[in-house]
Amino acid sequence: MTLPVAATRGVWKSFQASPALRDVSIDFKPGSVHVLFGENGAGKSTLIGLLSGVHQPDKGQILIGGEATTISSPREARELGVSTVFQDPALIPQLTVCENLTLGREPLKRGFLQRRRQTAIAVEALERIGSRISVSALASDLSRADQQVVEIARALQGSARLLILDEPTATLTEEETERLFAILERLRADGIAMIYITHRMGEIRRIGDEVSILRDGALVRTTRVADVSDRELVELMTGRRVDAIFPEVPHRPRDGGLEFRGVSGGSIEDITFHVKRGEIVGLTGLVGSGKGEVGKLCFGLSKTQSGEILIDGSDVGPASPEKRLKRGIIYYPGDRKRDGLIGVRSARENVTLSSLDEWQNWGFLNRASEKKAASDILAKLHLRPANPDALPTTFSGGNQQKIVLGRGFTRSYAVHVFDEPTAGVDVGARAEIYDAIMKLAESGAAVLVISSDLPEIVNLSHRAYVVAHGQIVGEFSGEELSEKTLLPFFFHEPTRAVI
Amino acid sequence: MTEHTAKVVALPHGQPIHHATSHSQQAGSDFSTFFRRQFINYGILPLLLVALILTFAIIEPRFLSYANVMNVTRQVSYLGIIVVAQMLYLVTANYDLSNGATVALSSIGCALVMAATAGGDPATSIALGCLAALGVSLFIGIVNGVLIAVVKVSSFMVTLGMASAAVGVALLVTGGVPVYGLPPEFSRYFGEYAVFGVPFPAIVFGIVVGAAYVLLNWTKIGRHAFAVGGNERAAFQSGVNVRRTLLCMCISGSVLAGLVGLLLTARMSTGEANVGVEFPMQSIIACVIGGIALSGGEGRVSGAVMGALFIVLLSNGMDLIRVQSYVQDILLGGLLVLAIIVDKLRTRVRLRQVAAPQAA
Repeated sequence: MTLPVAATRGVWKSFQASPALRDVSIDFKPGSVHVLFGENGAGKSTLIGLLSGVHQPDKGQILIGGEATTISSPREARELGVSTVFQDPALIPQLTVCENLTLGREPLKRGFLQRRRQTAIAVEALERIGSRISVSALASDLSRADQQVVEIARALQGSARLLILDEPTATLTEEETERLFAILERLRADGIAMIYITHRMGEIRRIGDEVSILRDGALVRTTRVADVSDRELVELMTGRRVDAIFPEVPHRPRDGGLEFRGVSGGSIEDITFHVKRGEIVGLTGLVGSGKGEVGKLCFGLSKTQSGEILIDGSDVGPASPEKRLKRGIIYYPGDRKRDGLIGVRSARENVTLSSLDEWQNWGFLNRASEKKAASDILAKLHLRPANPDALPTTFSGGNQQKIVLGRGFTRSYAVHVFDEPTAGVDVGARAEIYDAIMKLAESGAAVLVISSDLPEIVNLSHRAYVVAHGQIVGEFSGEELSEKTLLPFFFHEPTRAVI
Repeated sequence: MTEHTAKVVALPHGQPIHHATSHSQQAGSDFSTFFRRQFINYGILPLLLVALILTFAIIEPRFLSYANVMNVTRQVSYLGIIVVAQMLYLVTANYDLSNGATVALSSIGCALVMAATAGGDPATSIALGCLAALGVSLFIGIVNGVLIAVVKVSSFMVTLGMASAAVGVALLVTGGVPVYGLPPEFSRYFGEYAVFGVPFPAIVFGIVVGAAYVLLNWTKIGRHAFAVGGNERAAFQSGVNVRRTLLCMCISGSVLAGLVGLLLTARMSTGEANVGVEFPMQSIIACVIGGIALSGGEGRVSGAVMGALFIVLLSNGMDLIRVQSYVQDILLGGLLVLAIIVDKLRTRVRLRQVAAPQAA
């Protein structure tokens, strides 16, 4: 058995009397990707904080290379060989890749910068992980994925033995994710220990060697990935059975709803589909397939070049979110922080923003009834913490989504369009969001769910379409609606030559 | 639809999953929570105001005399309206650096029209003059608004350019000479008149404050303005008509500046092209120390009023104890920087409330 690079031994950590970690002991072995899996608030971040010197344990020990060590700062952690790549990019956008890679340790000679050596150091750092990014490129010109690669290269400089990656693929496309995994595999072969945090089940299988499941700050189990099924993983994480996550929605389609007739616009070419009232319809496909564009067309964020979009049989009208909302379409954007939420206004005001007319009398708002309506909606959606006056930024991803979702309950909409409704949402909140979506369909609205999450499409929707190259390449319902049948259609080649 | 049945997803083992993300600030006492909330809402302003009044009252007894209190009330009224006007721009995350120029050009427009019609019926003359002042400011507001909302130029550049252009026009039209010959009734009513001892400008100020409060907090357009200032993209995708909202706020803000032009013209009995030079800076300082975020989306009218009061009390007090005006300028500049530092701190305190140990 190989000696772990780093380990925790019975560590405890509390914040203001609430325990965030309780008696956690985990070994991180060299040449192994160790996945930390758990809901928001399960203690993953706290654990990383302990290893990277941001926090100190209240009790218990951290072992580095087998020796009990006190890590009092991130700098010290790095000197001990523990480097962390956080979710948000930490490169300086105005500097080049080379300058970023040598930042703080520029090679100097009598106080002057040795440019040639600086470049050599940067090139070497990138070569180590097999990357061919130009060292003279500006960081701001790099894609999100390349920025991440540079950050990994930077993290690995010196004597890094343990690399911590906090949801590195959250904003990457599938192709970029694959490239990242190739780098991680290379590092694994080099004997680097890695801690990998993700919410995505598929990635655990793809890249993980071991997985530790945390719940409520306690370690539920550490196991080899090969020895555990997806279902078990979710059950271990949530402490509940997996059936409870997806609600069973009776399929009772009624007349009306949303209809696309030969619509082209943006990257979409001549698509026809419909969502009946009372129905939940899934729309899936690869990143870049154009599935997201369909949502934008629905809501008037993209202009329709030809074809018709109908609601309950009549034309949807001009392309403006304001007018589409009036016509009864509501759209829940995929990037909640950027496109959905007003960060500096309370959760409650965010909920009522789209439909203030409901509380308007003689041009004035009836704030008492508005306040009550919003609070009731947020309570029904199980907003946690249950404080509708708090700012959206103070909530976890899942609860932020509940705030955006709350807008759909302020008045009756005919059509609800969700773009990646559960991206960055933990399983607990996920169940509640699915439950809300179910209620919308039950109440007789047409629901379109655009998602890359295949299990979500398969388990939540009554019918589903697959989009590839801006066209619909397949429609599925009933028995056919399974991951196995859908997946081949993702890679469907276009039937027509693109002119 | 809002009354859908709340069917709770069953949690079989009934264990709370999320307690780690619940409030982290409960540890503090109610007392410190109260002060933290005040700090977040108003910064250190209430404290500063009290300190200021006490200090000047002790050093200089005339500070609290009837005459001085009246004087301060009048000054607060002019600046206060300008600060509220600035606030209407700021909540949408835009600046108005042209409010001083708007005051000047409105004053000139008003005075020129009144002087030209002074021979006839004074009431008609005054009415036409008032219309001219408001018309000029309305025009400026529309130009600012269209450039900001439709052409999407940064408000900093738009209003900086407008400030230069408007003052230029005012000087060109008058040749730099004050405009005399206004009907005496204008000054008598709009400048000197008082109801139960309350000067006319103060009454106007009161109405403006009330209207701005209602506009921002009790109407749809006000809510939309905050939303646009907080996150324009998200506001648009939430169905807010961003253009209309921005136009509306720019126009209201500039017309309020025009109103001040009118009131100041009545006070001086002349139209002046160089009035209001200090307004852009003073109004921004007042807003920032009044807790109105420069980044938009936040702010209270009460904060704007306190901010204006603070600036006026400070310069009035310094006048009384004979602080040189150059020194006052230095202090005011320092105050601006201080106010912005406090603004940053406030944001940080607010974010700290957020930063509970959140897991990934």
